[in-house]
This record gives sequence, structure tokens and C-alpha cells, in this order.
Amino acid sequence: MIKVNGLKIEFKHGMTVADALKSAGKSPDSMTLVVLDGKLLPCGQPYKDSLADGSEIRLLPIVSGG
Amino acid sequence: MWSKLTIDMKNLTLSKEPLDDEYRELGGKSLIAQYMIKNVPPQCDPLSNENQLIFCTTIFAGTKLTTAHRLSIGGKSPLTGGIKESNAGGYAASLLAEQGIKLVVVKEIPADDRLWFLHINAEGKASLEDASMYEGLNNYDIAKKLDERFGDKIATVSIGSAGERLYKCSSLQVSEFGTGHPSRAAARGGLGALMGSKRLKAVVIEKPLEPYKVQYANEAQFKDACLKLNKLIAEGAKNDPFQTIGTISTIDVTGANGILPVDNYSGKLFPDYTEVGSNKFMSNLKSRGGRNKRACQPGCVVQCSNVYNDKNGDYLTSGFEYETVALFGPNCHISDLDAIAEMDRICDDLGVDTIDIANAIAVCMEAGKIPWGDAAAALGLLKEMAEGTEFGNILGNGCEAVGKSLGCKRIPVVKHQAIAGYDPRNTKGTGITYATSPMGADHTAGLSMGRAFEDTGRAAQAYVSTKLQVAMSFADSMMCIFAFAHTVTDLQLFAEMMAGLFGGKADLLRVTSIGVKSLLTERAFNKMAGMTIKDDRLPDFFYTERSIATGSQFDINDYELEVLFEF
Repeated sequence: MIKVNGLKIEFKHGMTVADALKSAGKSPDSMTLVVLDGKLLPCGQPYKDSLADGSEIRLLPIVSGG
Repeated sequence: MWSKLTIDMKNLTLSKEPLDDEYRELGGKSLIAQYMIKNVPPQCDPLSNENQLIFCTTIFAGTKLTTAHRLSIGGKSPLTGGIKESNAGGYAASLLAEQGIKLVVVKEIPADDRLWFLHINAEGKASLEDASMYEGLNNYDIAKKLDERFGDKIATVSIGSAGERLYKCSSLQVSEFGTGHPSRAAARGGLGALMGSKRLKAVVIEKPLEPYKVQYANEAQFKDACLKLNKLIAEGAKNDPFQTIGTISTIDVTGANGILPVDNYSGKLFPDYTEVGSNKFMSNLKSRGGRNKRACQPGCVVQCSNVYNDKNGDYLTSGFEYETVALFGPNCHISDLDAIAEMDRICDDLGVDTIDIANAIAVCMEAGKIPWGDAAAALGLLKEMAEGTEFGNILGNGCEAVGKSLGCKRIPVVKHQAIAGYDPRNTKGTGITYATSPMGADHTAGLSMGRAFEDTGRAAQAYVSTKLQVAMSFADSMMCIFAFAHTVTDLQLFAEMMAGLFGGKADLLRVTSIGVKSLLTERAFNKMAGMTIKDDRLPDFFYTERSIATGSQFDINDYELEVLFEF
């Protein structure tokens, strides 16, 4: 099982971050941080990073600045 | 009923009276604006006896609204020459509210050079006390000494030697809740110099024995709305990178999008931005015993603050924020996060604005005074400032002073105040805010990042900036803008709280009008201070040089800026 912002998605072998985001109906823009298992992925890339069963993805949109 | 505390530094007298009725429904930015337009001559010399140093809490101070305890500090800015409201988190506003004080006004200038501190004790008595033993001390030392003297149930607001020297970029540093570190900065606009001109070194507020109880018109109405708002903010904060990481997370967005300033706003991308971004920051925190998810004031649910330790695991700095990292980092071509943290510590300790000083360092590099990317040389210049050498004194007066002294043509200031960590060519709404905000180049007045790449044309960017400036004006009257960012889906709750607190209708216009009136009052003050449309403009190079990263230039014309506030 993969989690995307708490939403559970079925894990499939070979799944990438982009696949999980698509399954979860999420399409992060260039102002949203994507964190995979506690590590931030570079912004705005195709998110082809592989996933393992149990991975957790968090989307953190920038809402302010400081 | 709330109190107003007035201090006369010429006669060394203090008086406490009920808050004027006309300020009853105001706080923070809105209170500063309305107080100043009536009481501070706009054409006065900012360091003269006619200027006043003003401290106040927000409209909802004393209630359970999360982040309502921001401390606003105001006066005529020694840097911009216009109205200035600078706010900070920390513990002071909480304790001021518990003391029942909404507004503190410091007037006049002492007849001699004696230094003082304002002390509000646990019984609620306010006094001016001799601060000669603290003269020349910087903020960490003075915070520690005041803690030792008065115990740990205090909050402090202090100036370092920068404020005593009247540097135009000097800050007031507020002690952080829980740690007592003087790391929450009311940084912009040189109000530290205003405090220094009053020969006031510090404010010490003790936790009162009997905290003030806020009087409600309809307590149930207020509490219902407040609970809903707090829940909304807490829910939003769960997925806010400011809570998960800290404001430094913004580096990873601006760095990828060409918004991060690089090499004095050259418009280039900085390939090593991740060296000063979220992953590096979190890795350093984890391996060195630092912490994020810290509240700088009691009851904050956003918790964006942090404690950053050095390589040995010893405390180095806290409140280590995006602006400081962006501007001492990539804008100076520096990618050493630890060196930048040391710069943050020096600036907090001395009491200067990291935004202006970091921009000044970048200008030094462009002028060839020190090499690009040389962190050691940059630290050397900050140490000169701490020592008060000839160049150090120029540096303490900020980016424009340094640029002019070195003959630099590209000086990134508006109304003499340095620009924040967002290249305005790639976030044009923010650029419009920089140009037109009465505060000078102030990103917190209306940051439109996120809309830069929407192809909605120039008119939309101006519209965005106007809306944001109004919103930030009422946000800065009520709470921390980071918490406010999570409330936009239900602004009516603020109207319910206004009605619950003061009575009357729960009308959203009552809330938004606070923002509009503040903004227009500030513009009126600046106009009377002598500012014109020429001051509402970015430096020329943003109009003529294209961003190398995106090809964009700041193409908003003067007419669009001129009509921005015709509403």
C-alpha cells in the first residue's frame, strides 16, 4: 500500500511517484513540494522515482512566503 | 478595558490610561497606521524627538485565536523615511496582552545620554530603569542577563549595539517563547535606530500575577467562530511545508522556478540551491539535535520555527528563515548552509535586518570588494559591522548606503529598503507589491508567488497585488500571516469574531475595511512625508534586464502602478 497525503493507493510493482500521484488524482504544480518518505524531490520534475510497498508521499503546497 | 502606556523619555515619566475609544476595534498594523496619522508629524526627522516608537498587539490579543500574539512595532522609518510597521512573533505580545496593555507609546528623547530599559513587573507596574550596565551589549548577552535578573517568566524586546549606533538597518529582537532566544526580529526599516534614538535598550515584560481578562460583547459567538478558525488553520498547517520543514522549504520552489535571487538578482538559476534547501536543512537538524516544528509564540499551530545547531551539536541560531538563506546564500553565490546560519546569528545578535544586510553583501561582491561565493569574506564584513569599523558602519546602514559608497549601479532597493528573496521579474505581482507598498520593498505586504506563470496578463498581476496588500493589511492587524494563509476559505469567521468581541453585525466588510483603511492611511502618511509616484517604482535594471532563467522582465508600466489604489 502507498499513501498519498494519507489516501491509500494499491502498490504495484514498478510503480513510480508519478503513477501514484495519477492514481490519487493529484497533479502537483510548480509551487507544490513533493516529499517521498521524508525526502523532498526536486520541484517540477516528471517524478519518475520508483516506489516501494509502504512508501508515503506528501504534497505540500506553498501557501505563503517568509 | 485595555490600557495605553505612554512613556515620556524627556521627563522620564510614565502614565497608564484606558485605551482611546477610537482604537478599540484596531490592533497591529491598523492601530499603528491610525495612531501615527494623528500623532506623528510625517515630515519629522525619524531620529528626532517628534517621532514616536509604538508597540501594540493585535485586534484579537488576549483571546484563544492561534497566532494572535504578534507584536507590531511602528514609527517613521529611519530607512525609508515613510511609515513603518514591522511585526514579530515571540513571547512579548502574549505577556503584554496578559498585562492588559494594547498600546505602548515612547515619546521624546532624553536630555542626556543615559540608557534605560522599560520594565513591566508581575504586579503590572511599569518603570524606567537604568540600563547603563547593558550599554554596548548585543542581544544574546542582554537577553541572558535579563533572564538571570528577572527569571525565566519574562519576555524581552531589545536592541543590540546596531540600534545604539543608530544603524538604519537595525532591528528590534523579541525573545522566543520557550527558549528565550532573541531570534524573532522586527527587522525591516531600521526601527532599532528609532529605539536607540530614544535611549531605550530593552523592554522587559514579566508574566502578571493576575492576567487581564478580555471583555466580550458575545462570548459564545466569539468562541464558536474562534474554535472553527483554529481548527481550519490546524488542518491546513498539517500539509503546510512551513510546519513540516520550515520557511526554508521555499528555497526548493523558488530555486526551481527562477524566483530565487542569484548573484545580486542577475536572473540566473543557481544549480546548487538544494545545498541550502529542505533536504540539507532537515539532515543537519536530525544529525545535530536541532529541531523544527517549533512555536515562536504560545498557542501557535503552524509551528514554523526551528533551532539550528552547528557541526558539534551546539546551539547556533533559531528562527532560521527563507529570506536569510536565499539572500546570504544563492544571491551571494554561497552554498554553505552552516556559514549562512552563522551570518543569521551575527545579525540577530547585533540586531540588524538580514534582508538588507545580505543584499548589501551581494552588492559588495558585485562591486568586487569581496569575491562571489566567499562565505569567509562575507563573515569578515559582518564582523567589521559588529566591530563598528568605517566600512562596518556603512554596511549597518544597508544595501543602498553600501551600493552608493562602492559606486554600484545595480542597487536592489525600493524606498531605500532592500528587496526580499523573490526576483520580481518572475513573480510580477510581488514586484508590484515591492514597488507600491507603503512599507517599501516588503514581501510580507503581498507575496503573489504562484501566479507568476499564469498567463493572465499585466492587469491580473496588478489586481492580485492590490487584493493581497489589502488582505495582508488586515491579516497583520489580527494574526500571523502564515496562519492567515489557511483561513481564506472562510473569512466570514473573522467577521463573527469581530461581532462576538465588539458587538454589532458580523459583516465581512467590517474586516476588509480595516485593511483598506490601513493601506490608504499609510499612503496618505507617506505622501505627507514627501513621497511621490517616483518612489513607487522598482530599480531600473529590473525593467531593462531580462531574467536569464525565464527571459522575463518587469514590464509593468508606471501608469498601472499609479492607479493601483484608486478603489
